[in-house]
Amino acid sequence: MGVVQEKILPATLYKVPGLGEISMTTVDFFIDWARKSSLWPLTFGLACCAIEMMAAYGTRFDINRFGVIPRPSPRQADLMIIAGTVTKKMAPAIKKLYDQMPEPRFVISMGACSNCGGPYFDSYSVVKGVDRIIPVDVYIPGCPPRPEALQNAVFALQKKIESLYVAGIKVKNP
Amino acid sequence: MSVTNVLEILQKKVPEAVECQNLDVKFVRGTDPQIKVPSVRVGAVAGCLKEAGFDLLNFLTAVDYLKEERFELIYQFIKTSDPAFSVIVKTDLPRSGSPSLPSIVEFYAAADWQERETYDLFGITFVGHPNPRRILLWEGYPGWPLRKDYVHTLDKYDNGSEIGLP
Repeated sequence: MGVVQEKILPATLYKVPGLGEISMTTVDFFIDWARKSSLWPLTFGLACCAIEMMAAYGTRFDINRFGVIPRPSPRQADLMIIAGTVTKKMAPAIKKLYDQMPEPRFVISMGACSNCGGPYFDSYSVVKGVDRIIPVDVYIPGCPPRPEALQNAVFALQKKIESLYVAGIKVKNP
Repeated sequence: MSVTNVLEILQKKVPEAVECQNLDVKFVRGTDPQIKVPSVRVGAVAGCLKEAGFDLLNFLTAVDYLKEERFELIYQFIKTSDPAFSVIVKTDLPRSGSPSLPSIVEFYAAADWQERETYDLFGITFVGHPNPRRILLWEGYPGWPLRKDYVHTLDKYDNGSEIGLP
Protein backbone atom coordinates (compact mmCIF):
# COMPACT_ATOMS: atom_id res chain seq x y z
CA MET A 1 0.00 0.00 0.00
CA GLY A 2 2.65 2.46 0.96
CA VAL A 3 0.16 4.85 2.42
CA VAL A 4 0.57 3.82 6.01
CA GLN A 5 4.24 4.68 6.01
CA GLU A 6 3.52 8.35 5.39
CA LYS A 7 3.45 10.19 8.69
CA ILE A 8 0.86 12.75 7.66
CA LEU A 9 -1.97 10.26 7.39
CA PRO A 10 -4.22 9.61 10.37
CA ALA A 11 -3.52 5.91 10.43
CA THR A 12 -2.02 4.03 13.36
CA LEU A 13 -0.17 0.74 13.30
CA TYR A 14 -0.83 -1.78 16.05
CA LYS A 15 1.25 -4.85 16.63
CA VAL A 16 -0.86 -7.95 17.27
CA PRO A 17 1.22 -10.73 18.77
CA GLY A 18 1.19 -13.78 16.56
CA LEU A 19 -0.70 -12.08 13.72
CA GLY A 20 1.56 -9.23 12.60
CA GLU A 21 0.42 -5.64 12.28
CA ILE A 22 -2.98 -4.06 11.74
CA SER A 23 -3.69 -0.49 10.82
CA MET A 24 -6.49 1.55 12.34
CA THR A 25 -7.98 4.66 10.79
CA THR A 26 -11.24 6.52 10.46
CA VAL A 27 -13.96 5.74 7.97
CA ASP A 28 -13.93 9.31 6.71
CA PHE A 29 -10.25 9.20 5.95
CA PHE A 30 -10.38 5.74 4.45
CA ILE A 31 -13.24 6.45 2.04
CA ASP A 32 -11.81 9.79 1.01
CA TRP A 33 -8.45 8.15 0.48
CA ALA A 34 -10.01 5.45 -1.69
CA ARG A 35 -11.92 8.04 -3.70
CA LYS A 36 -9.03 10.33 -4.35
CA SER A 37 -6.70 7.48 -5.25
CA SER A 38 -8.85 6.08 -8.04
CA LEU A 39 -10.28 9.01 -9.95
CA TRP A 40 -11.62 7.46 -13.09
CA PRO A 41 -12.32 10.05 -15.77
CA LEU A 42 -14.79 9.59 -18.55
CA THR A 43 -13.02 9.18 -21.87
CA PHE A 44 -14.10 12.05 -24.02
CA GLY A 45 -12.54 15.13 -25.48
CA LEU A 46 -14.17 18.05 -27.21
CA ALA A 47 -11.36 19.95 -28.95
CA CYS A 48 -7.63 20.58 -28.95
CA CYS A 49 -7.34 20.38 -25.13
CA ALA A 50 -8.15 16.71 -25.58
CA ILE A 51 -4.79 16.27 -27.31
CA GLU A 52 -3.05 17.47 -24.16
CA MET A 53 -5.31 15.21 -22.11
CA MET A 54 -4.28 12.26 -24.28
CA ALA A 55 -0.65 13.20 -23.78
CA ALA A 56 -1.28 13.16 -20.04
CA TYR A 57 -2.68 9.63 -20.34
CA GLY A 58 0.32 8.60 -22.43
CA THR A 59 3.66 7.22 -21.36
CA ARG A 60 5.57 10.48 -21.05
CA PHE A 61 3.32 11.99 -18.38
CA ASP A 62 1.57 8.77 -17.37
CA ILE A 63 -1.23 10.12 -15.26
CA ASN A 64 -2.26 6.50 -14.59
CA ARG A 65 0.26 6.37 -11.75
CA PHE A 66 -2.06 8.67 -9.76
CA GLY A 67 -4.95 6.30 -10.26
CA VAL A 68 -6.47 8.28 -13.11
CA ILE A 69 -7.59 5.59 -15.52
CA PRO A 70 -9.91 6.59 -18.37
CA ARG A 71 -13.17 4.69 -18.48
CA PRO A 72 -15.32 4.22 -21.56
CA SER A 73 -18.67 4.49 -19.80
CA PRO A 74 -20.13 7.27 -17.65
CA ARG A 75 -21.52 4.58 -15.32
CA GLN A 76 -17.97 3.62 -14.34
CA ALA A 77 -16.54 7.12 -14.19
CA ASP A 78 -16.42 9.56 -11.32
CA LEU A 79 -14.44 12.35 -12.93
CA MET A 80 -15.35 14.32 -16.03
CA ILE A 81 -12.59 16.26 -17.76
CA ILE A 82 -14.17 18.88 -20.00
CA ALA A 83 -11.29 19.13 -22.47
CA GLY A 84 -12.25 21.62 -25.14
CA THR A 85 -14.84 24.00 -26.49
CA VAL A 86 -18.38 23.35 -25.31
CA THR A 87 -20.70 24.17 -28.17
CA LYS A 88 -24.39 24.72 -27.68
CA LYS A 89 -25.12 21.70 -29.81
CA MET A 90 -22.89 19.54 -27.58
CA ALA A 91 -24.15 20.98 -24.30
CA PRO A 92 -27.20 18.69 -23.89
CA ALA A 93 -25.02 15.64 -24.52
CA ILE A 94 -22.55 16.75 -21.85
CA LYS A 95 -25.40 17.32 -19.43
CA LYS A 96 -26.75 13.87 -20.15
CA LEU A 97 -23.34 12.21 -19.65
CA TYR A 98 -22.90 14.08 -16.38
CA ASP A 99 -26.31 12.95 -15.21
CA GLN A 100 -25.43 9.34 -16.05
CA MET A 101 -22.33 9.37 -13.82
CA PRO A 102 -22.75 7.91 -10.31
CA GLU A 103 -22.24 10.18 -7.34
CA PRO A 104 -19.92 11.45 -6.01
CA ARG A 105 -18.84 12.92 -9.32
CA PHE A 106 -16.29 15.58 -10.01
CA VAL A 107 -15.65 17.87 -12.95
CA ILE A 108 -12.39 19.40 -14.16
CA SER A 109 -12.82 22.25 -16.61
CA MET A 110 -9.73 22.22 -18.81
CA GLY A 111 -8.71 25.25 -20.82
CA ALA A 112 -9.99 28.72 -21.58
CA CYS A 113 -12.91 27.56 -23.75
CA SER A 114 -14.59 25.41 -21.15
CA ASN A 115 -13.77 27.87 -18.36
CA CYS A 116 -15.49 30.88 -19.88
CA GLY A 117 -15.81 30.49 -23.64
CA GLY A 118 -12.26 31.70 -24.19
CA PRO A 119 -11.54 33.02 -27.67
CA TYR A 120 -15.08 32.09 -28.71
CA PHE A 121 -16.74 34.26 -26.10
CA ASP A 122 -18.57 36.31 -28.73
CA SER A 123 -19.46 33.32 -30.85
CA TYR A 124 -23.02 32.40 -31.72
CA SER A 125 -22.48 28.70 -31.05
CA VAL A 126 -20.27 28.38 -27.97
CA VAL A 127 -21.41 28.08 -24.36
CA LYS A 128 -19.72 30.74 -22.24
CA GLY A 129 -18.27 28.33 -19.73
CA VAL A 130 -19.21 24.75 -18.96
CA ASP A 131 -20.24 25.83 -15.45
CA ARG A 132 -23.44 27.15 -16.99
CA ILE A 133 -24.44 23.53 -17.58
CA ILE A 134 -22.78 21.44 -14.86
CA PRO A 135 -20.96 22.31 -11.60
CA VAL A 136 -17.17 22.48 -11.85
CA ASP A 137 -14.68 21.54 -9.12
CA VAL A 138 -11.34 22.57 -10.64
CA TYR A 139 -10.61 25.07 -13.39
CA ILE A 140 -7.36 24.87 -15.37
CA PRO A 141 -6.29 28.04 -17.17
CA GLY A 142 -4.40 27.81 -20.43
CA CYS A 143 -4.99 27.50 -24.15
CA PRO A 144 -4.40 24.60 -24.09
CA PRO A 145 -2.98 23.74 -20.65
CA ARG A 146 0.02 21.47 -20.63
CA PRO A 147 -0.32 17.91 -19.30
CA GLU A 148 1.46 19.00 -16.11
CA ALA A 149 -1.37 21.47 -15.54
CA LEU A 150 -3.87 18.62 -15.81
CA GLN A 151 -1.79 16.64 -13.31
CA ASN A 152 -1.83 19.61 -10.99
CA ALA A 153 -5.59 19.84 -11.35
CA VAL A 154 -5.87 16.20 -10.35
CA PHE A 155 -3.78 16.95 -7.25
CA ALA A 156 -5.99 19.93 -6.45
CA LEU A 157 -9.06 17.74 -6.81
CA GLN A 158 -7.47 15.10 -4.57
CA LYS A 159 -6.90 17.79 -1.93
CA LYS A 160 -10.53 18.77 -2.26
CA ILE A 161 -11.70 15.18 -1.89
CA GLU A 162 -9.55 14.76 1.25
CA SER A 163 -11.55 17.44 2.96
CA LEU A 164 -14.96 15.99 2.13
CA TYR A 165 -16.90 14.53 5.00
CA VAL A 166 -18.41 11.13 4.47
CA ALA A 167 -20.05 9.55 7.50
CA GLY A 168 -23.50 10.91 8.02
CA ILE A 169 -22.91 14.06 6.03
CA LYS A 170 -23.57 14.61 2.36
CA VAL A 171 -20.35 14.33 0.45
CA LYS A 172 -20.94 16.89 -2.20
CA ASN A 173 -23.53 19.46 -2.95
CA PRO A 174 -23.87 19.55 -6.70
CA MET B 1 -4.50 23.44 -70.41
CA SER B 2 -5.05 27.17 -70.10
CA VAL B 3 -7.86 29.59 -69.41
CA THR B 4 -8.88 29.81 -73.01
CA ASN B 5 -9.02 26.02 -73.38
CA VAL B 6 -11.32 25.67 -70.39
CA LEU B 7 -13.41 28.59 -71.57
CA GLU B 8 -13.74 27.11 -75.05
CA ILE B 9 -14.89 23.79 -73.60
CA LEU B 10 -17.33 25.55 -71.30
CA GLN B 11 -18.74 27.95 -73.85
CA LYS B 12 -19.84 25.11 -76.11
CA LYS B 13 -22.48 24.26 -73.51
CA VAL B 14 -22.71 27.44 -71.46
CA PRO B 15 -22.25 30.39 -73.79
CA GLU B 16 -22.69 32.89 -70.94
CA ALA B 17 -19.41 31.85 -69.27
CA VAL B 18 -16.79 34.60 -69.24
CA GLU B 19 -13.43 35.07 -67.65
CA CYS B 20 -13.52 37.07 -64.42
CA GLN B 21 -12.65 40.71 -64.96
CA ASN B 22 -11.17 43.26 -62.56
CA LEU B 23 -9.54 40.71 -60.30
CA ASP B 24 -8.04 42.12 -57.16
CA VAL B 25 -4.46 41.02 -57.82
CA LYS B 26 -3.54 41.04 -54.13
CA PHE B 27 -5.84 38.13 -53.37
CA VAL B 28 -5.24 36.02 -56.46
CA ARG B 29 -2.62 33.38 -55.98
CA GLY B 30 -1.28 31.35 -58.86
CA THR B 31 -2.58 31.36 -62.38
CA ASP B 32 -5.75 29.36 -62.01
CA PRO B 33 -8.41 30.55 -64.42
CA GLN B 34 -11.40 32.21 -62.81
CA ILE B 35 -14.62 31.91 -64.73
CA LYS B 36 -17.84 33.73 -64.01
CA VAL B 37 -21.14 32.11 -64.88
CA PRO B 38 -24.79 32.95 -64.19
CA SER B 39 -26.07 31.15 -61.11
CA VAL B 40 -28.81 29.23 -62.92
CA ARG B 41 -26.19 27.57 -65.16
CA VAL B 42 -24.00 26.17 -62.36
CA GLY B 43 -25.38 22.66 -62.86
CA ALA B 44 -24.54 22.67 -66.55
CA VAL B 45 -21.05 24.04 -65.84
CA ALA B 46 -20.39 21.30 -63.30
CA GLY B 47 -21.53 18.62 -65.73
CA CYS B 48 -19.37 20.07 -68.48
CA LEU B 49 -16.27 20.27 -66.27
CA LYS B 50 -16.83 16.71 -65.08
CA GLU B 51 -16.87 15.55 -68.69
CA ALA B 52 -13.72 17.57 -69.38
CA GLY B 53 -11.83 15.57 -66.77
CA PHE B 54 -12.12 17.76 -63.69
CA ASP B 55 -13.02 14.90 -61.39
CA LEU B 56 -12.53 16.54 -57.97
CA LEU B 57 -14.48 19.36 -56.40
CA ASN B 58 -11.89 20.84 -54.06
CA PHE B 59 -14.16 23.21 -52.22
CA LEU B 60 -17.33 25.22 -52.47
CA THR B 61 -17.95 28.31 -50.42
CA ALA B 62 -19.77 31.61 -50.39
CA VAL B 63 -18.80 35.21 -49.68
CA ASP B 64 -21.21 37.84 -48.48
CA TYR B 65 -20.72 41.22 -50.15
CA LEU B 66 -23.13 43.25 -48.08
CA LYS B 67 -22.50 46.63 -49.70
CA GLU B 68 -22.87 45.22 -53.21
CA GLU B 69 -26.05 43.36 -52.21
CA ARG B 70 -24.80 40.02 -53.50
CA PHE B 71 -23.47 36.64 -52.49
CA GLU B 72 -20.59 35.21 -54.47
CA LEU B 73 -20.30 31.45 -54.65
CA ILE B 74 -16.87 30.00 -55.38
CA TYR B 75 -16.20 26.50 -56.66
CA GLN B 76 -12.75 25.05 -57.27
CA PHE B 77 -12.43 22.03 -59.54
CA ILE B 78 -9.25 19.96 -59.87
CA LYS B 79 -8.02 17.27 -62.24
CA THR B 80 -6.49 14.50 -60.16
CA SER B 81 -4.39 13.54 -63.20
CA ASP B 82 -2.94 17.05 -63.29
CA PRO B 83 -3.41 18.48 -59.78
CA ALA B 84 -1.32 21.57 -60.42
CA PHE B 85 -4.05 22.91 -62.67
CA SER B 86 -7.39 23.87 -61.26
CA VAL B 87 -10.28 26.01 -62.37
CA ILE B 88 -12.26 28.38 -60.18
CA VAL B 89 -15.89 29.04 -61.03
CA LYS B 90 -17.64 32.01 -59.49
CA THR B 91 -21.25 33.02 -59.60
CA ASP B 92 -23.27 35.89 -58.20
CA LEU B 93 -26.55 35.67 -56.33
CA PRO B 94 -28.81 38.52 -55.29
CA ARG B 95 -28.79 38.96 -51.53
CA SER B 96 -32.43 39.84 -51.09
CA GLY B 97 -35.26 37.36 -50.84
CA SER B 98 -34.36 33.69 -50.56
CA PRO B 99 -31.24 33.14 -52.69
CA SER B 100 -31.12 29.79 -54.43
CA LEU B 101 -29.17 28.07 -57.17
CA PRO B 102 -28.95 24.53 -58.62
CA SER B 103 -27.19 21.82 -56.65
CA ILE B 104 -24.24 20.00 -58.22
CA VAL B 105 -24.42 16.90 -56.04
CA GLU B 106 -25.47 14.78 -59.01
CA PHE B 107 -22.08 15.49 -60.61
CA TYR B 108 -19.85 15.80 -57.55
CA ALA B 109 -20.75 13.83 -54.41
CA ALA B 110 -18.24 15.95 -52.48
CA ALA B 111 -20.61 18.88 -52.84
CA ASP B 112 -23.14 17.25 -50.52
CA TRP B 113 -21.82 18.43 -47.16
CA GLN B 114 -20.29 21.59 -48.58
CA GLU B 115 -23.65 22.71 -49.91
CA ARG B 116 -25.27 21.83 -46.61
CA GLU B 117 -22.68 23.95 -44.80
CA THR B 118 -23.22 26.85 -47.16
CA TYR B 119 -26.95 26.54 -46.60
CA ASP B 120 -26.41 26.30 -42.85
CA LEU B 121 -24.29 29.42 -42.47
CA PHE B 122 -25.46 31.63 -45.35
CA GLY B 123 -29.03 30.52 -45.96
CA ILE B 124 -28.45 29.83 -49.64
CA THR B 125 -30.78 27.11 -50.90
CA PHE B 126 -29.41 24.50 -53.29
CA VAL B 127 -32.26 23.29 -55.45
CA GLY B 128 -32.11 19.55 -56.06
CA HIS B 129 -29.94 18.70 -53.06
CA PRO B 130 -30.86 15.21 -51.80
CA ASN B 131 -30.69 16.14 -48.10
CA PRO B 132 -31.15 19.88 -47.68
CA ARG B 133 -30.80 20.12 -43.89
CA ARG B 134 -28.53 22.10 -41.60
CA ILE B 135 -25.24 20.35 -40.93
CA LEU B 136 -23.40 22.23 -38.16
CA LEU B 137 -26.13 24.04 -36.30
CA TRP B 138 -29.29 22.45 -35.07
CA GLU B 139 -32.69 22.51 -36.73
CA GLY B 140 -34.61 25.59 -35.75
CA TYR B 141 -31.58 27.83 -35.28
CA PRO B 142 -32.65 31.44 -35.83
CA GLY B 143 -30.80 33.13 -38.67
CA TRP B 144 -27.73 32.54 -40.80
CA PRO B 145 -24.59 33.30 -38.74
CA LEU B 146 -22.04 34.02 -41.47
CA ARG B 147 -24.15 36.70 -43.13
CA LYS B 148 -22.66 40.10 -42.48
CA ASP B 149 -25.94 41.50 -41.19
CA TYR B 150 -26.48 38.63 -38.75
CA VAL B 151 -27.54 39.69 -35.27
CA HIS B 152 -27.17 37.08 -32.56
CA THR B 153 -30.26 36.26 -30.51
CA LEU B 154 -29.37 35.62 -26.88
CA ASP B 155 -30.29 32.14 -25.69
CA LYS B 156 -30.25 30.39 -22.34
CA TYR B 157 -26.50 29.74 -22.54
CA ASP B 158 -25.91 33.48 -23.04
CA ASN B 159 -28.02 34.39 -19.99
CA GLY B 160 -30.82 35.43 -22.30
CA SER B 161 -34.29 34.10 -22.90
CA GLU B 162 -34.67 30.47 -23.75
CA ILE B 163 -34.92 29.48 -27.41
CA GLY B 164 -35.39 26.15 -29.10
CA LEU B 165 -32.23 24.25 -28.29
CA PRO B 166 -31.64 20.59 -29.12
